[in-house]
Amino acid sequence: MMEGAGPAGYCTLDHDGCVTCSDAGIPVRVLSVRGDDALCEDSVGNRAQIAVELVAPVRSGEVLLTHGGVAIGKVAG
Amino acid sequence: MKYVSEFRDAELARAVASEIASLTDPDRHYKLMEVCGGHTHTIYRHGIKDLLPDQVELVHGPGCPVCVLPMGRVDEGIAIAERPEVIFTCFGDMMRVPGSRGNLLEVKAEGADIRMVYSPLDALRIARENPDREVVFYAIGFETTAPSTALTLLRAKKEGIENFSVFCNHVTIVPPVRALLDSPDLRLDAFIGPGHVSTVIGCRPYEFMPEDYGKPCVVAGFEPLDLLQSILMLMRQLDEGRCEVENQYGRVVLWEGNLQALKCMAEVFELRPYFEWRGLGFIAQSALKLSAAYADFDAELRYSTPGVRVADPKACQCGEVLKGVLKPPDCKVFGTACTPERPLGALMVSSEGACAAYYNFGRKSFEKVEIGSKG
Repeated sequence: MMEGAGPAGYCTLDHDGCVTCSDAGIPVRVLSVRGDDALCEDSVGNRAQIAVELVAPVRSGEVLLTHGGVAIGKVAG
Repeated sequence: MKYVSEFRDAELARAVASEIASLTDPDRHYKLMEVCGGHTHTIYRHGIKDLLPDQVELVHGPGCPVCVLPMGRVDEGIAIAERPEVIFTCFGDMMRVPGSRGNLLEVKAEGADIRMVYSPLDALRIARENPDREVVFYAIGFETTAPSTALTLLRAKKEGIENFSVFCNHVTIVPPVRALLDSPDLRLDAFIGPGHVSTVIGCRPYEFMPEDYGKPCVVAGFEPLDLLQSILMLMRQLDEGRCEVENQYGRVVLWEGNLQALKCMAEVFELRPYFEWRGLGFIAQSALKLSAAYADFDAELRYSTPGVRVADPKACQCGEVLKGVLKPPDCKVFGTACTPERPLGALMVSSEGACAAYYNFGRKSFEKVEIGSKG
């Protein structure tokens, strides 16, 4: 069933799935925090600025669940 | 970074599937509804159904926000987009959703300034960069997406950006599930709860399922092993005669949800008294509109949208599919008049729509044989 599935599949910052649907929750690691935004990286190295007010406080190294450019949760280690 | 690959281990998946099979009563038919369109997508993308016994049927729920949007709301968005002063912004999924006079992509081709964005924060940036234009964001989605709209409006208000507004079509997950449970058409045994909605709202809102309707619910993640483990947890509940809400997606979902996100939403939104859902009709308190404090950002007020109602095309059976009464291939126009290239119904538009998932992953012929063989 899962042969051929990449390590990240569509759960990356550049995936082109349905943003309006809940499946587009993307785990990203925080690289640095600046004010209400954080530079984050997904599992294949894509980087993006993510708004982090809704999960503050945030530290470098934490893994966040993002949706539509906004972090909505933290992923437990 | 992990969190994805370890949830796609084929050997583990087969072991969980084997456990599901061992709990399956050969004389019983199990109907489990996955509420969320993202789960539907995972089920077909990864062939989850192939690993389940014939007795376990997965019924697709109403959890694709693009799919449940009534045609009248698409038409109203298009009417705003056609205004010359407007830069209309929306997620890519919305571009091909058919209204009664075409879709946003066609209107863009005719000259309207319609721009696809990944985040409502991108729409706000466009407003900042174009102070002489009016920027409207077409907000759509369940409680997963609503916080990003709310956060964007908080920032817009804080920055005093006046040329930005939101056409709000956010919906909530619990009322349509309750409406389905009240429907005489459908007899379900249990629910697979939406994982990312639950990241925001938590697990408590689903307690009415076991308490009022005697139906178990397991909140599930979106990787193949998440889905299989959630099905196993439901089968265990059914086997042991338990009936409760359980959380399979504990690595992300807290029982109480994201309180900061809920607070932000409470400031920006209020419940509409009722909202129309494609296929399900009007459901009380099932959608959000901007609160009085954010009325200045409300595109419905700014452009006096009339609230038109438009009936779906007669041949379209999205409503029955949304309620789980029909499987996609049973629709009269599935794969013929309605395809992902030229969708007639909304369920064929979004990649998470049940019909598109069936079509894109080559299920249509298989499903017809399978459904026929079940008699």
